[in-house]
Amino acid sequence: MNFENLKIEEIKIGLEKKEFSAQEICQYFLERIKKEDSKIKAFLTLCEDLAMERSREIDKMVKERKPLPPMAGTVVAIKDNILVKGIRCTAGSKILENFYAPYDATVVRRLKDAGAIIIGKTNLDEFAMGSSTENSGFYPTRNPLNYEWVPGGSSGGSAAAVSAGFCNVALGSDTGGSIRQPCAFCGVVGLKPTYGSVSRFGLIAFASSLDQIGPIARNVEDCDTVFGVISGKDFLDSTSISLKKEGRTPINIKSLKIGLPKEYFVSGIDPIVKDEINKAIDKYREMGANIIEISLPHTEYALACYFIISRAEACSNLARYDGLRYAKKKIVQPSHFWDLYFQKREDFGREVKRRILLGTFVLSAGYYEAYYLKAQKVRGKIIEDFQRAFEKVDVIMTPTSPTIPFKLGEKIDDPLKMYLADIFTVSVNLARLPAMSIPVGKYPVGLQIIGPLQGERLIFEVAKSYYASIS
Amino acid sequence: MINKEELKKIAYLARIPLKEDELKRLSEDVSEILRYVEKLKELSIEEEFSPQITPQERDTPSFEWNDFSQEELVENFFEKEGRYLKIKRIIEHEF
Repeated sequence: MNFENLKIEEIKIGLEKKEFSAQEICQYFLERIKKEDSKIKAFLTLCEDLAMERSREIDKMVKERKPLPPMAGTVVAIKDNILVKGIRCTAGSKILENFYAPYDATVVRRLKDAGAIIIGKTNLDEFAMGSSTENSGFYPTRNPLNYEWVPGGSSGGSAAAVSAGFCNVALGSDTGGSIRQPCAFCGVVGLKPTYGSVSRFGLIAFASSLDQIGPIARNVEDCDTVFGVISGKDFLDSTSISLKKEGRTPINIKSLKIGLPKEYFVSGIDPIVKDEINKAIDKYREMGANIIEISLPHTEYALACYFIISRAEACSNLARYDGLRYAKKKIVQPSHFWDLYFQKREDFGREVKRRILLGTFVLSAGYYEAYYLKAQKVRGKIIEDFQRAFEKVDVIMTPTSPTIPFKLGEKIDDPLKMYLADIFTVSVNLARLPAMSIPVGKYPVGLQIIGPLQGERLIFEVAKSYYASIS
Repeated sequence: MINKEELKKIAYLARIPLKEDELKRLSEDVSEILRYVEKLKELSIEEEFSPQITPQERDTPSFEWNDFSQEELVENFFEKEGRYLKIKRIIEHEF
């Protein structure tokens, strides 16, 4: 049986009916990974023992006729910037090559409690900084749809693992598009939840006011299920919020108002992307939805605003890598206390150095007001733009990425060109909104569906209606 | 936008050692991004900045959380003596 084609719910039912065992599922995926991941390199670490132990526990529950938790037997891959107790956690950085997580992230604990089997840790751009997974301190990941293409980033390993059928679902993290863009490139579904709806406890921080963990799956239903499991108030993350209580009532597509921001449909979009997005929007039009042109006037400033805020936060967050804590490195006899810092921090990759330096610069005396304070004010304007838009429409649709996947090596030497890959996704993080990327059409193109704060339920229903219309 | 000397100072503040060739390349990279973010100067925003606070819930109770042992944390220290982190002396003053 091809277990990657089963939905989470079907796995649970299959286990209950004893059509297969959790150990069979687990072995199936482990064999697939061992056979095929040498070509893709989605994983940094496999947790074979942990996974087999967990699947034996699930099988025991089945045997003893205990009620199965919602994700029983579902095989999950975890982005390697999220802690799994006892398992190495590198964040894609040489700096953390030997760091073993002393505890579980809240999302991991919730997945384990829900019966999920964690199979491995996936590759990413170092500290989630990048849009292609080429900035990994270990090796780049390749796109399962075409090995010459990048899988996108920074959750490239997770998106590739789901796309290649190495697991049922995966977790990624999204600071400026790092779940949505790789999902678009690898042809899978990914959600960046409302800021605060998923606990960040146990996520290695990049930019704390933007970071959010979210699910990656092969279909909207599984994405929905995983979001249900990992979301909700967590006392270990002071920014986490309780979920809005909402029923799973289907929406009436005929009363749905979809906003298309005119600033997102300008020149510079790959014609293939434009064509596929227009076709997808036509589907909604055929279903009777109202398509309304809207304006998000500060869109052209979003990327500059994001650069400043994310780099400023990154340079503070990464100050903790001091040569004392988190993973051992044999320090050559330090002549001064600061040597511990210098010797450790020289191992950061070039992109990370770039971001720390820019962040330090914009926060330094004399520049703070012109850069950081200004960016914070612009962020306020971007939030207002979305607030106004959601007075008129229910959801907003845009392409996830302006291009289809690019080739490995194509943009790695031109940082600005690489950063432009995130142009359609960063505003959502700045405004703390939920957004999902779903694959549409026959090319690796993602349709981004943006909802109002805590509008995940609505996004899932809107996404499901697209697939219902084409099936 | 930012020359090699300025970047050297910033790099020291960030405690990142840079070799000469890295210094050149990174000052070019950082300058390019700074030129891009100049864009924000086009906007004049009159309003005072109001902190963007996430809607926090104030019912956070006090909690105790002991999921891991001290030994596991100490295990990740680069050099240790017993349960102590061993580092180079910081205070040079003789008492």
